[in-house]
Amino acid sequence: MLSRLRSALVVEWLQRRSLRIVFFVLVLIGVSFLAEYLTLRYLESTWESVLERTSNEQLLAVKTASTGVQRRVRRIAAEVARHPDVVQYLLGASSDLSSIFDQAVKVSRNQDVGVEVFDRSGTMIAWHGRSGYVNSREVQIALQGALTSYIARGPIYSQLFVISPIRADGRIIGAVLVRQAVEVSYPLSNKFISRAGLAEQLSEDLSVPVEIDFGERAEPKKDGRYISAELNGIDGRKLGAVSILKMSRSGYLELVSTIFQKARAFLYFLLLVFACLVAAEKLRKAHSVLLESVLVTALIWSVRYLMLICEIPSIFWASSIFDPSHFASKFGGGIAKSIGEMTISALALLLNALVVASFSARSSSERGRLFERHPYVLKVLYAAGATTVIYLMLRAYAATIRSAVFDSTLYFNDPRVILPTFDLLMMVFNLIAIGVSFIIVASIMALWIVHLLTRKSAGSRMRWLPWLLVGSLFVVASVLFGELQETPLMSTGIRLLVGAVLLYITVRLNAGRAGLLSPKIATVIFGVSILVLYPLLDQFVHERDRDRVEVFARELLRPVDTWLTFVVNESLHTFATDETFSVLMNGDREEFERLAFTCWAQSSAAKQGYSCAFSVFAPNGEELSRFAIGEQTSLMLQAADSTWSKQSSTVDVRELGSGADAVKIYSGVIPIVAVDQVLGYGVVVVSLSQQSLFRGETPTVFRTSSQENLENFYRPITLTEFRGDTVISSTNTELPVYFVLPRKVHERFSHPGVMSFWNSEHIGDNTYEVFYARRSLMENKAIALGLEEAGLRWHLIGFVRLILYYTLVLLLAAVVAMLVMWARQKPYRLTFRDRLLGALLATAAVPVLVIAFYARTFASDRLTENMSDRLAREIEAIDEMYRFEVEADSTSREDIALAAQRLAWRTKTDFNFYVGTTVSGSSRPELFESGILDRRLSGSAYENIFVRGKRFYLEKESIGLYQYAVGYQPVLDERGKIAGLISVPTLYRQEEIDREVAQINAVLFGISAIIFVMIAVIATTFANRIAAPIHELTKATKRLSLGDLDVRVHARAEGEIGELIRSFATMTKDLKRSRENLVQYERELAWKEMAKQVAHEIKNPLTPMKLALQHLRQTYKDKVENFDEIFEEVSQMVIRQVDALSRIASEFSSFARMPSARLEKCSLNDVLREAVYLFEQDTRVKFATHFGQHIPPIMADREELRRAFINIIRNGIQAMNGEGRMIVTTEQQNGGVEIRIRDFGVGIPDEIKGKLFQPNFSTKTDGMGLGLAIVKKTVEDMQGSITLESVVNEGTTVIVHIPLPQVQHG
Amino acid sequence: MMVVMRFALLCSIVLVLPFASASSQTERQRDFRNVFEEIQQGFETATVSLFSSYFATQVQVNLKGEESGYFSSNHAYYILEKYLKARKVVSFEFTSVSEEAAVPYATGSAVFNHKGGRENAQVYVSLVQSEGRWQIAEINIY
Repeated sequence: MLSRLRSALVVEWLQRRSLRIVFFVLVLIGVSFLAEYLTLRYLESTWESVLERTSNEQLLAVKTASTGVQRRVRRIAAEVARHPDVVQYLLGASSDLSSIFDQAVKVSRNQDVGVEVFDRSGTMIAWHGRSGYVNSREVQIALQGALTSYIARGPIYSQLFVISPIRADGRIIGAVLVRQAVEVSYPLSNKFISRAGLAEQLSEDLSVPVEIDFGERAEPKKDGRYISAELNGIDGRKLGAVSILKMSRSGYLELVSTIFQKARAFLYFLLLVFACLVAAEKLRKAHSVLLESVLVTALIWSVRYLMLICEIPSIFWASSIFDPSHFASKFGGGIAKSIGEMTISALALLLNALVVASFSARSSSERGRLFERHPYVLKVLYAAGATTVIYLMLRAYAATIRSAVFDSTLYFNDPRVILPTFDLLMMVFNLIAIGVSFIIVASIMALWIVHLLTRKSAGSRMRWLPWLLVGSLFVVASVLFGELQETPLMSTGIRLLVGAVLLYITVRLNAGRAGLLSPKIATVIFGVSILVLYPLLDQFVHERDRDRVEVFARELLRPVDTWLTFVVNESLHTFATDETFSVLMNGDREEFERLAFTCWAQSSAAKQGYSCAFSVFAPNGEELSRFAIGEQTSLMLQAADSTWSKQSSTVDVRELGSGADAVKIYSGVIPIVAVDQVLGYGVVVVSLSQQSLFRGETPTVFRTSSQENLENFYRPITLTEFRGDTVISSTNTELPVYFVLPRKVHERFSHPGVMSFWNSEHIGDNTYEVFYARRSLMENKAIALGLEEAGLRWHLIGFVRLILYYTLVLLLAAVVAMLVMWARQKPYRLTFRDRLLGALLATAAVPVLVIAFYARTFASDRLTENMSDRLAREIEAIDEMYRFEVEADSTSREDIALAAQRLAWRTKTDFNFYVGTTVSGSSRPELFESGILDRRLSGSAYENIFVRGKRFYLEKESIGLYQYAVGYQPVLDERGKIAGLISVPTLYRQEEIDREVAQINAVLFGISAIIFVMIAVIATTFANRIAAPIHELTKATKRLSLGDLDVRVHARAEGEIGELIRSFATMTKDLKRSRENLVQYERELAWKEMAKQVAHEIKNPLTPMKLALQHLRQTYKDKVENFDEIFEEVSQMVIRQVDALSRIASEFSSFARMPSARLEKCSLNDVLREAVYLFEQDTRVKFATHFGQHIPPIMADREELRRAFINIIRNGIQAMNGEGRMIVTTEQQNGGVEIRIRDFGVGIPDEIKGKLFQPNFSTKTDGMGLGLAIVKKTVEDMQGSITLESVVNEGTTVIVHIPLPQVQHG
Repeated sequence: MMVVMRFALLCSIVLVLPFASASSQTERQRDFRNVFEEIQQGFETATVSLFSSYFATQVQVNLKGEESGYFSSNHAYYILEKYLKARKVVSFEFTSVSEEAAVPYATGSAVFNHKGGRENAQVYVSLVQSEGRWQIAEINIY
């Protein structure tokens, strides 16, 4: 009540000052324009000084950031240097080298740095982290006792090195080197090289390009467009140079302008909010509920579009959900142009639906009057029309879901993911909100259809007719919508399901047992919206996958000669860059070696993901650099040699190899010319192999983020190539060796004009949807792209997610509801059932969760164990084969590399071979050449194998964000000593591991979810059954406290609760009997009192009458002279006394009369107005009336009611001695109407308050004192109540509460 | 006389047909050139709506430093709009258009002002014939 009053006061305050507020905000907006103009003019006029100041600030920020990094690394180095294990070992007090390695590994992993420990002689004894250039001179300086730092550029990162001396007992016993990456110099960008360099981070923070050139030779730029300075270390040594692009004037002014724009957007938003408040208040005065609904709808959507135009809230909140990268649809002019915008629109739709629902509950009479007089046939037609509208809305909902899938890059139903990302969660929330809105509106329409078709005059036998008609309409509409639409967006089954659900909700609403917004119905609506959403999502995702497959097939079949010639030509241009010229002119050996890789990384061939080889040759033909990637790299490198020697100016196309191994290659050469001098030659060879999918075999580790996005499928795709009926190549490992083109496919292709089609096939244990396509009718080549059908794992994960979303939405709704109730100062109180249910769920669910958690941990450990065993076995096999096949037969490094690749290809296992701590052979040399993998053995692997002597060691390693496992095994010589190490990384098999993990997740979480659902159902059933009798008992007790002695508890229960119910029944009976006896006694007492009082009152006038008549008789006898006067006097007095007697008799009669009230529909407000009107004529009393809007009429005796109000008002006026002020208010609340009549009179003392409603009690000199007793009786006859609040000398408020009939109060 | 007329008719058909097919081929070539022109104009003026009607149902979009992948036509519209909104187009030009293949493509270069710096990029756009009209299958800005 208080909060409502507060909000009403606020709104009233706003309304009264609306013009002023609008004016004020508009002035502020105007001021902002003016301020923007003046600020921009000022900045323009003082631009030079602003620029200098800003640039200096930016330079300072860069230096501070650089210093911060240095301090951090120094601190880490100092901590390691002080560590007791390190000190003890270096002092010779301990021989536990493992402990130093442990320390190095721990610091390296926790701080993301590289650590190396040196002894006094400068020999490295322990390390962890990537290797890099170690300046031995710097190490020596540290061993002399000085802390030293420098920057060195590596293949991937430029690193800051800090070398700290280790001191003990006053002498230097060693040194510790800590290195941290500060800049990324790697040309590729993907999840493996994820670290942003210092320059990039600063560019982001300062919003200007920042370039940092690390190295002692780096010089500040002399370009006037930059502010440039040297970057020094803490010790004063030069680290490099920093250059910051000076902000352009227009760019800076635009930035400042944006700030003002944001401020104005906020002001527009304030105006919007204010306008909404005022409009909402005005809308409350609309007389028609339907009109109100329409106006509110218009208001909601006007606000929505205004927010879109003003870019609210995206202008303030730069979140990823307002970025169209994940989702964007053109629907509605942009109200769904990102996930965030769609969320706002979904919330607006939901609000609209809820408002319509609440209005609908109030407009039942209005609804009933619409079309009342129309013939029944027409009503059936209207109903059919409304049903069509419902199904059109359903189609629109399905179209929304389709858009959410097709116009987005989100992964719905990904089996690898249990918990959704934030973007996905928001999108699912949007779809659920829209689904809920649709069901709410559709339910209202369905209810209207039922009411429309219900004949008031129909007997009980015909009551089923409207339901039959409605059901038939839904069924017919479901079927017709499927038949008539060219592209039905959903199956008939789903339409029928939705129709059935709507019917169910309508039945419940019509029965009046629950409102549309009641918790039970709301829970059903939520559940249904998800039940409908999931299969539709699945269906559309499936459609999208098929579309994507067709697009890929088109890509694979397009003519490639022209395209690949273009790719080669474009790639050749990457050799003609300043960086290449610089390296060729001044570079060192290491830079030469990396040149081919760098050119590859920037080329179109890399971006498209083709297998290719890049080589750089000196003018004399010496190969300076090479890099090859993909399949058959050696073949391509050989082709590169021959291409250089040909020196052709056009792209050469030829086929290498024969038969199934034939490979078509495209190669070209370009001279690298600078200053009219040929510095060298660049050669590019690109191969086309249909074996690869997505036009390339670039391993994931070399794919750029953009390429990864091209390949976003979570169901594996296989590619098979046919020539005639024979399989040429296939990526499907389950495809039998002798598989031929199926006959059905062959027949389809034999039809003229058929270029592509879908087919379903069983291969192995799986079913595939296969898309067959061919380039032309002439060729006998065809490709088949196969999509594995979603299996049990898929659906289990989907089921888990369904439960998860449902639970999340319910929890969110519950939290919101609790917050709303708390804000209204009516906090939700947990019932016995809630507590019981909570206890049961907690008791049952917690062990399930614990078991699931441990099961998953156990499964994960088992997976790791299995992986270790598998790796160990593979390593052993590789070891043996490597010795006999690779080392024995190969003489040169190239031969070893080629043989190693063949071995890896045959065994489908990649491996690396180490001698000492450096890699000496690998099946994937490009990973080391490009710097992705470190040539140096990891410190922990060295410690475990060489120091601890383990026979197998499994380590989790990471490249950037990507984690993978590596198995290490020592290779022993004839004497049993460790000659080397073989490692097998799982880098290329992560998909397999991911799939296994997904399977574990699916099984464990799926089963857990099923169990949890069963527990929830059982617990709810038990809680309901146990709590039901207690709930009944509670309700009965409440009714008893309100005076209903006829209440009965019908619930059945055994045990103590049954005993309690029986005791309650007995108690109620006894109470009723006692009450009846008491009432009887009181009635008798009252009658006695009444009779006494009546007798007394009657006697009062009789006595003077008798005396007067006696006096008259005497004067008549005495023949007194003034007999006429005396006669007149006496007769007047007698008449007066007779009037008094008559009044007494009337009052008594009114009080005693058994009410046979004349009931009619009457408006309480009108009756009060009439009562007030009677007294308003007296201008000495001022009346203030505040009557509530939309108070429904009640059935009552209008006259009785009016007399009761007159009585109360009269008492109030009398208390004010006939003048003053009175306030009369009515308000609908608590299931009834509260009438308050307040006077500002003398008030009523506490001791009298309790007696005021007693008959024959009065504080006045005249009257029977029955007035208020009659009022009370009148009110109580209407099941109402009357109370009063009074303060002496301040006034009295009479509060009458009259309940409204059930159907009328909302 | 009738024979002569018929012969003349036959000859005229035989003579006109190649021109007709050449004309239709030329018409076809002109069609895709128009599309490339509109794309160029759209990028020059940073107005995606000038060429968004040509998007295929699935468009491959690769944008330097930004999104890459397959997008629906609706989605591609907003991706490109966002890309161009964040940049000021200094120049955008197709330098060569292939005429031979059934999949015509155009290559060129673009220069943008982005975050205060100048960005150079190579451009590649390819079309595909579908439902009797040219549609944009791929837009790459490297």
